[in-house]
Parts: sequence; structure tokens; C-alpha cells
Amino acid sequence: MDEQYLIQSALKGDMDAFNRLVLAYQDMAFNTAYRIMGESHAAEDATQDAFISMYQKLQTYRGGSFKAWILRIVTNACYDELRRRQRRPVTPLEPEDDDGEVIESPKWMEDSTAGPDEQVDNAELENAIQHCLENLDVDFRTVVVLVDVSGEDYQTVSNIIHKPLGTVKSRLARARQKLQDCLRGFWELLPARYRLNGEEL
Amino acid sequence: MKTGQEQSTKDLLQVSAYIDNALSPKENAEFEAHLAASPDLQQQVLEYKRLKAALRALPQKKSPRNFTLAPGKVKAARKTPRLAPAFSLATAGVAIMLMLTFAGEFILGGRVSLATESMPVPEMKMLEAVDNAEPAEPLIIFWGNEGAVGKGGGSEVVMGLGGGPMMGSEGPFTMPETEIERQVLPEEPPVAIQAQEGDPRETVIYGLQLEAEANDAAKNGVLSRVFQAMRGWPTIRWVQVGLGTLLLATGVTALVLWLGKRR
Repeated sequence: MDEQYLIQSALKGDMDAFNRLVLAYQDMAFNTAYRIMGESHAAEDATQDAFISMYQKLQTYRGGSFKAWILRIVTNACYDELRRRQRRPVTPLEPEDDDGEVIESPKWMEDSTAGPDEQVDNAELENAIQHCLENLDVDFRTVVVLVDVSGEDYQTVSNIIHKPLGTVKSRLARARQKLQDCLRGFWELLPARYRLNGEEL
Repeated sequence: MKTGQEQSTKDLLQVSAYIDNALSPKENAEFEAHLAASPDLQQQVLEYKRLKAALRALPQKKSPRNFTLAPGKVKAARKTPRLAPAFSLATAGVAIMLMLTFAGEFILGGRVSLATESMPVPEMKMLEAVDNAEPAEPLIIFWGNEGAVGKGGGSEVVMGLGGGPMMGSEGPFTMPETEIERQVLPEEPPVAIQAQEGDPRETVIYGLQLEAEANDAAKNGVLSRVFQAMRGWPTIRWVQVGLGTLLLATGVTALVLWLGKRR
């Protein structure tokens, strides 16, 4: 995919070119939104708003990392969606079975490459991490998601959230410490690869 | 082993930056020297690394559907009104400003409130004089007697102003200027007054009013005073009127936009 060519075509009004960019980045955008929002429907709304906003603001893209530019829009859409939901709270839609019971480890959490025990462990770990992420303040959560989940560097995150580098470092350190405290006591229940058995630095 | 709260903030910042290779070479060397001597810090580094690995290993969520846009959808999105909050904010701002002008006027007291007080002193005095003046009989001058016909003529006996005896050979008598000034002249501009039908006063006297016309002038004077009072409004009153109008306009617009958004 020639990204720059698609961007130029989209700028000229080529909707197909724009939609090809959407298809290329929608998983990344949705995943980031999901980790920030903590809920699938909210993440969906934020992602949709982000792509509409992206189409409307495409003229403002001034080169550089297109992924970082999209992440900035996604992050802003998540903030907007969170504010909207704070004004009009909605009941989270947990996956339910036919009897209306909440499914603790829904099907989409399953890792088809892992064995049954490992799948359960992974789902437990994911639930625990997501729970701890949701307990973080949204500013801390956003930074830790962008750095540790999406793998962005400090400078990129600083550009995305419009905050100085020092703020990014500080928020990340505090977010990690809070997550660490939240997950304490949980690690020993997890697969061996997550245990610290006299590991070397 | 120290818990997270017990570690110093600086240590936590450095551990976090260290596992991301975000320390400068100098900072890195200093931190590693510190790390070698601190088992607690080593444990902290291991825990942060494990946390980072766990976060990185979280499964990537696939989008539940495609987010591609149809042209109509984008158009609709562009029409989404974002003006309602702006107008609401503007309404609130204008209301506050209006209240401030009233509060300011109240605090400053009579200094700015009364229209007449803002007028220049001579103008005020003139209005007071008009208020207090007794309706005076119009000064009527009968020009000439039976023997005098036409304007500008006069008998040998002076019956009033404007006439002049035909005595002597130096021509008509002229009243000294000082005496003319002593005569009360109406404030209204001189008008030609026609004698009414059947009125024994047959001549037209310039600069004088009949009684009926004097009453009309008095009525017009009231209107003119009201108008003059409005013209004399202080600036603050006009600002209040302007803000009130603006408040009404923005308020109604905001209401209409909000109602439209709800539909």
C-alpha cells in the first residue's frame, strides 16, 4: 500500500482511497480505543467518530507519521466519548449467554493457538489488566496504553497528547506503579512466563 | 523489599525510563551504578519489565466491523450542529455582562443613572425654566387705529411697538435697540400669525403667537422633552439595551438549536 499516494488521492476527494486507509488502520485504532475506553461499544463509537474526524481534518495532516496522526485523533475521540458518557452514563454491555448471565471469558478473548488452560490464564490476565487499566485516571491510562500497548515512543506520545516529554515520563511511571500495585498478588496465579523466579536483569 | 509507595518518586521515574531506554547515557550510567547497589531497585526493574511485557502481550482487538465511510455519512457528520453549546455559552456570557452593567450602575449610584443629570447644566436649567414658567398671555400688539391701514404704517399716536409716529420730518421713529431687547420674545422661531376670520385684529404680526398655537407648542414641547430625555440617555443605558437585545437573540438561537438537536 502506498500510503502517501492514498493520502493524496483522499485529499482530492477519492473516497475509495480514504477507505483503504481506514481498512489499513481500523484494527490499530479500535484496539487503542478499546484499551482506553474499556468497553467494546464505546470503543466502536470513538473509532467511528475518529475516522469521520480524520476525513474532515485530512487537510491538516502535515506529513510525518500517519499512524501517530491517527492515534492523536483516536485519543481525542476517546476523550470526547468519555466526556459524553460521563454526562449521559450508559450501562456497560457485558457479553451475556442465552440465559442473560454475564460471560466472564467471552469467545473473542480466546487465543486459538493456546491450550485450554493457557487460554483461561490468558483471559484471566487480560481481565485483570483491563480492570486495573480502567481504575487509572484517563490521562495516565492513555499514556500507558500508547507506550506499552501500542508501542509508541515518548516523543510520539508527547505529540499525540500535546504534553511535554517530562509529563509523559511522569505519567507513565505513575501509571506503571499503580498498575503494579493493582496487579500485586495476581502474578503467581499466572503462567510461568509471567513469574519472577530469580530472573536476571 | 520496598513497595511502590516506599520507593522514591525519582527512583520510580528512573526505573520506568530505564526499561524504555529513555535515559541519557550519563543518566543511564549513574542509574546502573545505583542499581547495582540496590536489590530493591533491581526487583522494581524486574517487576516493571514483567508489567511491560504483559501489556505488550495483550491480544490485539480486531475491529468488530468496518469503519469505512460512505459519502452521505460524512456529509451528515459535517452537518452535526456544534453551534448549540457555543450559543449557550454566548447567552450565559451576555447575561453576566448585562447583570454586571446593572450592578455597576447600582454601585455607582446616581452618578450615571438619571438622564437629566448627564445633561449639560445650561440645558437642565432651560428645562427647569420651561417647567416653572406660567403660561403667559401672548403679547398682542394692535397695529394702528382706524386711521391706519396696512402694515408699517402708524398714526400720530403710538399705540404699540412696531409703529412709529409720523411726526417731524426726520422720517419714521425708530425704537432704540436696548428697548427692543427688553421685549420678551417667544422661544419658538418667529411665525407668521394670521388673524382669524372675524377677528377685529386684521393685520398680520410677525414674531407673535395666537393662544391656540401656543397650546400646540406646549404639547409639542412635552414630546420634544421626552425625545430629548431619550437622546440624553447615558452610554450605559444604550449598552444595556444592546446587551438585552443580544441576550434575547442568542438565547432564542441556542434554544432552537438544542431543540433541533434533540429531534
